[in-house]
Amino acid sequence: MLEKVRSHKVKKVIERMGKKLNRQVVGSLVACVHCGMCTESCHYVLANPDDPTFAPAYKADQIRKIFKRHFDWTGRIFPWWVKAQDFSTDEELEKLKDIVFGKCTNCRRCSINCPMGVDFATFNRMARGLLTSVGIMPEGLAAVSKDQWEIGNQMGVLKEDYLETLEWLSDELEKEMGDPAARIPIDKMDADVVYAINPREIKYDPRTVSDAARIFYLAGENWTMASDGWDITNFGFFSGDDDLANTVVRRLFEKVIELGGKKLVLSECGHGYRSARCEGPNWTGMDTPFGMESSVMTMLRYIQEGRIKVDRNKNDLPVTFHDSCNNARSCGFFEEPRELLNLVVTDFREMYPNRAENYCCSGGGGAMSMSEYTPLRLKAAKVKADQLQATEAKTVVTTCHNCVDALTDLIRHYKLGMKVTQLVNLVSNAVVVEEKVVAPVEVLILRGYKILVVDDEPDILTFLSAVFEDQGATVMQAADAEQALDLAGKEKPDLITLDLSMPGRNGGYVFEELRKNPELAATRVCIITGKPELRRLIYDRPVRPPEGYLDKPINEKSLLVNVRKILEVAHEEKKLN
Amino acid sequence: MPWAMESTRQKLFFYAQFVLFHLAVGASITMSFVIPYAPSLIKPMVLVRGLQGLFAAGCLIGCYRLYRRLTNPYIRQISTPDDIFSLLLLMVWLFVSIGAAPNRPDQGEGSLLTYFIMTAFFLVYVPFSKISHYLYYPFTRYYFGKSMGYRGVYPIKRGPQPTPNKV
Repeated sequence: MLEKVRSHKVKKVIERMGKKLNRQVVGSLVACVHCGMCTESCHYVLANPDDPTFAPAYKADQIRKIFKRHFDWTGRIFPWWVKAQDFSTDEELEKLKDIVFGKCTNCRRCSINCPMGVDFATFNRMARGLLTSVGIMPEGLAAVSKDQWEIGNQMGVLKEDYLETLEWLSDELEKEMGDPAARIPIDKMDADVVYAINPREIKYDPRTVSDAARIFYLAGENWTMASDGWDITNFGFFSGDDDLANTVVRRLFEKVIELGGKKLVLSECGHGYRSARCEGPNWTGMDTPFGMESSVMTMLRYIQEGRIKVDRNKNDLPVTFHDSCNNARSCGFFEEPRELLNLVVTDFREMYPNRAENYCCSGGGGAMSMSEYTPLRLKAAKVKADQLQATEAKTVVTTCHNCVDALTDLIRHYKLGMKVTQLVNLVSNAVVVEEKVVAPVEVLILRGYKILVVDDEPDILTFLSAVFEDQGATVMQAADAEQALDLAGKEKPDLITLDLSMPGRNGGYVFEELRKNPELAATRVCIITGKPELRRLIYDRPVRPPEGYLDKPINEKSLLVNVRKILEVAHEEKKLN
Repeated sequence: MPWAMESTRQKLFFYAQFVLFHLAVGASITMSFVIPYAPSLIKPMVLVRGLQGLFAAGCLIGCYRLYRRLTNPYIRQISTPDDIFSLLLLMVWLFVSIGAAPNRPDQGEGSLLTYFIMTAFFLVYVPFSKISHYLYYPFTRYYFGKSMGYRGVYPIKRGPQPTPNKV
């Protein structure tokens, strides 16, 4: 019988699988009895009841069949008896990619419902790593991993941009507190706390950094942030690339050691917490002569020790809490966030199920960076949407940035009309500032600036114009690409807010034309879109990326914070030049 | 405890079947040692009838499980020939155990011979089949439990289910 000729990539996958197998993985691969008890624990199954290929055991079998064919004695001798199967083509690997990346978020809900103790997430990650090692992975994941390797963080934030943002946030804090000491220390030696964050906070939501800084200041903490090695996220964790996983955590740990920090405090990021706190010491093999904790624990301790005082009446809207899979189901971190939440809100409504049995937001496992699977993800999110709706809460709180994005997406998709926030925002809002340190608030913060708003929806144009004009800006409006380019050329605005999805020529075309025009290339651009999957229209272009990015529906406070940041940074650069 | 797992709690009847089926299998394995080495233990008629009842229940449950495996689209999709053969084998073995339990070779050796031949066949077949899960699962449960227990996930704590309209 002619043996099938295997492609080079398939040969490598099989060879490397042998090296990745250990007792725990093999146990999970062989112990499945196909009882189907895991089936209804999976949010993909519940959202796709007519498609049995979403069942965890089926997905697991797509990996298991290769293992059985090459490493299991029955599978090697009688493959048809146990449905062992060999792979030979790259197309088969591509199909496997769609399963291990697109149909599973590694949430482990099936694992805790398996009577045999099969941990599907562990060997799903193994399969991801094998495919990644031969270059088969979702494009978005590859791009982000590349940034994390080469630039040091998953969002490609350059060091100067990172430091500028922290500088700007420090200025804001100093102004608010009326105290020159109220700043974000950078690379301070021998601090008690080294605070590390998710790059999403710098790029899209600097409020979370400023809220944390405010809390540290009010608690009188001896703290610092690092100028590099500050990214707690880990795309090696998502892609199964152990080398990247090791490198990322190692950078984090080595920086804390270099600074002599006594404790590494991790901002609210689910997989970041798990990667650093739980998996990092295993990946790196490093001894960590410093403590590690989530910022949730830190804030809770400040309140319990009386270092900050909070007034829960400042957060009086009904809230519910979403347990991030990595924090909760994989790290046992579910009571402390609730304890903190109960101290800073008046109306907390538990969703059901909760804690270790809570459902995935559908954005885990790196799903938010895999735009090709967005429709599948949003369909699977129906389970979470139903949970949220049942609480009748106005806000959902979570301790993970991927969950923030995924929940925002599903709330918009299912029209739930809820907000998403994190514990640091609620604590900062509830904190009682005992000394009167109200700094004069600058009225008309956008006075003197010219802003061009580009959107095909009249309501959005009206809203943005009103917000910017209320702050003193001169606003021009454009409803399509041609009008936008025409006005940009004539008026030379300081900032352009740009929608991506427009009839005719889209926002991506406008953006590229702006960047290619020497007279307009330096114009600041903030993308505002309700379709995050269209980000590729921008980031695939061979031009300098935009200065800002916001999701719709637009939060007015977030809009002003981001626009102000972009314009003030531009102003500082002009002064320097 | 078993009901700490959501999948068990939501399917208690299914779980009860699982318990009964495995009790029947365990009892039959034990009987394969008792009959040759301590036959007096299996003399009381009450015990024999009880065992027969257990084996019959196990066999019926096996029939239901086979039906489920062939008709439920999720289970059918993941089933292999080994899954079906192992189940059939156990069903037949439990059925034959009903006849073997009285241990009356004077009334015909057919049941006892078939029973012991099948038991011996298991020794050969188990390492190559899914039935070997009974050897693997203590290890997988240990690894998973150790990891999750160390991180405080186990024992799983649940919040109460909200009553309708409760805020």
